[in-house]
Amino acid sequence: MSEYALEMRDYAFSYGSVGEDALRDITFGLESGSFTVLCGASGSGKSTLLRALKPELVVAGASKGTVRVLGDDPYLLSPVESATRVGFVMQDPENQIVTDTVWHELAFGLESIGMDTQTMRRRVAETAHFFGIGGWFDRRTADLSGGQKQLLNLAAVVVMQPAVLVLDEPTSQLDPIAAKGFFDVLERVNAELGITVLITEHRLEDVLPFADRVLFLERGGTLAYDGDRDGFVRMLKKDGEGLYAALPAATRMSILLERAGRGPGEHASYPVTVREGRAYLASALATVGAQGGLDAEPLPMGRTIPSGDVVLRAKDVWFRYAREMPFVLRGVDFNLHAGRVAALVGGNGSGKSTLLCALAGVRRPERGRIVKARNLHVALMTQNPKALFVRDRLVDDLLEWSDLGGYTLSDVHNMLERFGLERLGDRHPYDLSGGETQKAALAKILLLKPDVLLLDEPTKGLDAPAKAQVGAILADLALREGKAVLLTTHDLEFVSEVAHTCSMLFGHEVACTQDAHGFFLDNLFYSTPTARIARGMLDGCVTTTDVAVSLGLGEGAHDG
Amino acid sequence: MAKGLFATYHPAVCMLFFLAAIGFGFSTQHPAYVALSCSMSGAYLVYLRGWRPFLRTMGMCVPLVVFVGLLNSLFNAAGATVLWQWGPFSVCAEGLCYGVAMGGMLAAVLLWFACYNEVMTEDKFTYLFGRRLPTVSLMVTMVSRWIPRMVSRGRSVHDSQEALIGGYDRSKRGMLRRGVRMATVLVGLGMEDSIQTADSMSARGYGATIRTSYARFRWHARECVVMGVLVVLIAANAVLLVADAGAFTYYPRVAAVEPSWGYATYALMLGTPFWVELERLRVPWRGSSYGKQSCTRVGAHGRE
Repeated sequence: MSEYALEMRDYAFSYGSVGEDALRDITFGLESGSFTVLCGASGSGKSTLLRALKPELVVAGASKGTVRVLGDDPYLLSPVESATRVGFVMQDPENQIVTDTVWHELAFGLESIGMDTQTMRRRVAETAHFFGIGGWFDRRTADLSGGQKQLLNLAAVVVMQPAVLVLDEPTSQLDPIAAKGFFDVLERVNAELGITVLITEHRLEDVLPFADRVLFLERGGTLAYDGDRDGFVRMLKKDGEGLYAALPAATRMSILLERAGRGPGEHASYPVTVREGRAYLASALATVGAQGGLDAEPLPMGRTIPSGDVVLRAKDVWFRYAREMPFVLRGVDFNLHAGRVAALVGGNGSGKSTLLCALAGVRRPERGRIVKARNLHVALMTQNPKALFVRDRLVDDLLEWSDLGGYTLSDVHNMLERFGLERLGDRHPYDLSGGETQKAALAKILLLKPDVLLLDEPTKGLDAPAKAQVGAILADLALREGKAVLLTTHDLEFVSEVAHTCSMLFGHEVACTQDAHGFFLDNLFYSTPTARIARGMLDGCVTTTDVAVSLGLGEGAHDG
Repeated sequence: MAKGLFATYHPAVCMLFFLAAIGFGFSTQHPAYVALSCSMSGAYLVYLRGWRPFLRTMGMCVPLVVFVGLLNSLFNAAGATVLWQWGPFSVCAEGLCYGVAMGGMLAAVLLWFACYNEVMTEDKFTYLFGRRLPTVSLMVTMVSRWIPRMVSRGRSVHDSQEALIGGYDRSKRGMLRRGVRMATVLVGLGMEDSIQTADSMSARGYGATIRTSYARFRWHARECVVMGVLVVLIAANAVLLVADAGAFTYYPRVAAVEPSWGYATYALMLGTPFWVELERLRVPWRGSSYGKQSCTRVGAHGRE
């Protein structure tokens, strides 16, 4: 009997019987009740590793080595034992839900393992209570928000009382507020029920504060790090495969200060939350007088916006989906300029997607109008980029509209090269990773040579390197090619780095439009973590890059 | 939801009621019974959903009655009272009456089905049949989850497609081609989705052993009472209504509508959703020793 809740020894995996191992020499053991984050660049085999822990979900291929769950080989357990011992939560909140009502979804697993009615009633009741689901117990699953759906998925797994909970990027499809809510509940599951948690996540900002252990899977499938949070940060400083940008803002800022000679020292901890970040920054700045050398240069409180003509305009637009429903847009005025990246932010259901659809001309406003220049070509990318693909090969798919857009195969190859997708031309579009799908969809749209790009959440589900790439492409399209770009997103850090202007939708109207930098400086709550940390101490800082500039560390300092 | 007390009864009671209402509704064209069925089902639908949805349903039912009435009178010339004669066609009053009664019968059944949809939600249906047929009932739930999902998927695919290529070809052929394309995309996405759903099911032990069913409904004493009354009424109707219906003829002349006890039992049976509401009138604390006290307290707080 081993003392670990979860253990892998000398585990190796390859997709085919021949060919290279996708995972190799994986050895680790997780103590019962621990909270572990598994990190790694996309394509490093994180999902494959997680699925190997659950026989029902294991990826087809050949494996070597041992896997133990509570000391037993999961592959030898009875089906019922195996289903209950390890709980698994996946990425997509929608697809995991099997039934039509909340209560039935909670009961689904218990029904499957043949539990008797009396015990089932009790389990469902206490789980619903623990998760605060009581209020929407009778609702239809189709009517839930994304955050509620994912909470339900978690509850529907926890109701089976697993010893180990494995989560594969559970918040990548959620907005930040829903994601926070999810992590808070997950933390309670870990702390109050003592369930061992193993989670992969590319938004470390929210999850790292909870982690007492970090595993890092290197590209090539070897475990490059296994230890505590601070050691992980130290390792990422040296070589992070671009994961550095995924670290919490407070941590990144402390690394910058470290470069300026204000590090936490060999044994101190790195800050991970805004509160810790503020305390750290305050103490680092306080020692300036004593040691000298750390001059914080205040930055201007706003940025100039590139000039450009108005190409698309919403004038007093009112819209609702049906006459008996409330208005989603109430007198929205909005101008879109050529040569700029504009961002549209706001809570869920504030009408961001609807405004995009109205601007794109697929939803007719009930009152007011959309004014656009004649022959202006507007392209819309909706939230699920997979919906753009119909063919089996990416190259064929990109050629789909060649007669409409007047382009050829060589244009397609050029476009693939521009997005760094040239090696993926033969893949099925559904087999691409989140970032690759997003880029391929953008490529397909750009082949139609639109003048205006309307993008609904282009950063959803992307890891830090992919996000940086998409951001660079969008900036390039606006500044070099003079296109008008409008994107909606929940990722405020992305907005502050990429967008020129930022508009906030609230109360079904555009509450304000401002240059993106100034927008976040003037906002107190609705702002980037860096701005919240630096407020009142380093003027004019919204991103870590700003902090680097302010501290005179140069532009290149942020990429590790 | 203000659905009335009847909807809170055990699904078996509700199911028996609707089976009886729809079954008897289908079995007779006797004008009195048809009128009773129509008015009771209409009243119940108004009670369940309010006037507006009722009127919308009626907008479907009235043309149905008129249409069936006209159709029957045109093609059935067996009546004795000829109203119009036009070449080989003759329209007689009996045919018209029979047609209207038939239309009314169909309308009543439609209305009962509308009520059924309100009361017998998916979960009640699956509860009733789920334990016998776990696979079928799970399929029903999954389909009912799948439909709204496909609709929203379809909307998003349609939007992105229209925004990108809708402007190029506005002809019928172009629209048709885009429709086919949209269907292809939806199938692809749907398969992609279902792989993940299947994973989620097997991860939670689907197929691990014999399924059980979560029971949300309990059987109380009141269920016994209402079920008993309902069974007696159904038995009474099986005798009285069937006899009345068998004796009534439309051809060659419409028979006179005779008074019958069957109307009363039929009305009582169809009125079950209404008379179960009488329970509200029962004083909940009657007979208990602390009756007086709680009476004053409830009186103070409970009145709205």
